[in-house]
Amino acid sequence: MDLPSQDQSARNPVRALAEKLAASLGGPDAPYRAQRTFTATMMHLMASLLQAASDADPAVQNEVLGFPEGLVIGMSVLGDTPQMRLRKTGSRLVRLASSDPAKPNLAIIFKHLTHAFLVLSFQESTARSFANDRMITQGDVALAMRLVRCLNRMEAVTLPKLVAERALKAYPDLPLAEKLSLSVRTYAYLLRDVWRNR
Amino acid sequence: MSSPYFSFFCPVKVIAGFKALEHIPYELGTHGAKRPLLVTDRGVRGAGLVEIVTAALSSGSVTVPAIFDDVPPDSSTTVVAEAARLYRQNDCDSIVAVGGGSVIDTAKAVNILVSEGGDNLRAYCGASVLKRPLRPFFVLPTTSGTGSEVTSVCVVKDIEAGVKLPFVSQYLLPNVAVLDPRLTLGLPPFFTAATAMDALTHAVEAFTGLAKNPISDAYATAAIKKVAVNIVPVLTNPKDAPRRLELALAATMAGIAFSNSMVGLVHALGHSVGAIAHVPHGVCMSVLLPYVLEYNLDARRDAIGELLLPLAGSDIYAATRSSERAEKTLVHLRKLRDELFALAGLPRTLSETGKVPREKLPDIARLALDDGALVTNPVEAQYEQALAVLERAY
Repeated sequence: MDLPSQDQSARNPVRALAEKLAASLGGPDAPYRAQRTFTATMMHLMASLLQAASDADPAVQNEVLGFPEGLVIGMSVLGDTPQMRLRKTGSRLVRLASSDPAKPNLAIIFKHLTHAFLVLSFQESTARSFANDRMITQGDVALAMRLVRCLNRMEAVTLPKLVAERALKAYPDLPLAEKLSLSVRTYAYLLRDVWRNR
Repeated sequence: MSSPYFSFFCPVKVIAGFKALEHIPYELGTHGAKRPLLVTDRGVRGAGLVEIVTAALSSGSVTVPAIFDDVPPDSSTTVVAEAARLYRQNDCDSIVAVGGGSVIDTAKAVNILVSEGGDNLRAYCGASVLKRPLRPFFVLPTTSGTGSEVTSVCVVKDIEAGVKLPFVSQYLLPNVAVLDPRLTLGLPPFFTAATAMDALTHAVEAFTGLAKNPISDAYATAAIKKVAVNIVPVLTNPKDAPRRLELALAATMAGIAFSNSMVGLVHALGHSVGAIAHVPHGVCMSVLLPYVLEYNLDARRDAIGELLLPLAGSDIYAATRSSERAEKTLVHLRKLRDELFALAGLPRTLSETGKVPREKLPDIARLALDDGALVTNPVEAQYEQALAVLERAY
């Protein structure tokens, strides 16, 4: 099959119109730039919420205690900038500053920015993303499963049920009063951390 | 719900059937190899299978400079290093694995060392660490269950650190898998039944899991049909070579299916039962499969119902209302399980294995939560649900 030459595509009015439209919206990479900003923001928020949940939620604390001391957990995008890192310190997960050179012992790496965006915008659950082979897990699988349980619990507590149901394989049996109480505590710890780091 | 997506990959050349072993010299030649290290275990060698393979090779002008037959049931980095040393001492240029899961995993790990150099296997542990093709690697399975001849994974124990090291890379996939009925004719009835149920479970979990896809579905259903049609006749007449070959094909096809669709709760629980109570893997699969399907029934009613066709045949499938097919699938699985108990003594429950104390079930359930196979099970399972499935299977 012959591929169209650049001249031919330049003569194709539909293609030319599409290219003009994309250029007027910021070029063909505009969606990726938006995804990059969104993904970086969400990873920052997730790391902060995981840190807060490890202070506020006994279920998350119980899981965190199973991580080896000093373990550095990372989530990133292959060959791209968005990333989050946390270190297990005592019974807590502590978000690492971008200047900290620590390399993750346990890492979840999305193969492309768009794959991370699908998960972090709740269009695709973590389990579906894994089943679709969109991420690489580096490190001990048992610890990765523990991290997934922490993430699931944090999302179930901090997200509205309608959103959490899109992020999780199954929304847990979490009574509304307990969810509200834990959610308020988690967000309170989040605000405390933001205040301390201002 | 996101849009459908899948990937599928299987570059292994499968050579199967009558006098398949005699194709190996030509196939080695196409890979530029003529001095293979043969990796096997004492049981396979004692059964006379190595002689069958070496005769087929030498008559095709391929000499086997060395045979490593010291692979234990649970292989280790030490064993891998010893085999790699033998490979280098004898100036080998390829690897032929003759055996079951442990032999094949060991040979995959040996291939890493002899291709990449050095003796530090730990450096290559993890997913996608290997970056280039390894030495020519042929696998000749002597059991019909693991599907390791078409998977990109191996697990080896690190004795010093006391942990199991997983290796995942497309470069671990063999170049050629040879299925010759002569290699499985002598497999005892118990292991024939257990390994066939391992293959059946691979196919069922591939077909009902979160990562199922149209191509792996085709392999899975074909594998299920081959096991369902051939396992009882083989146990009745163990020397039936054509049906033995059908079981070997089923294991390979189920292996292709699950290596592209992954497995689920049966494997998560089964790995834990094996680790804590030392029950053979195929037995765990056979015992747990009906109970996990019961657990997944509501979420996967359609897929489980579709399995009635390959499992029970077209007459029963057509005579069963579509709303009742999922339950009927479970009835047929239990019937098959009972037949294997009668013909081969394959346990039907965890208590019948005689190795699982009831008080260990909570530990088994807790350990299963750390198994990666849980992610692709269609239904979320936490500690309480995992324990409940184990209790029902007891």
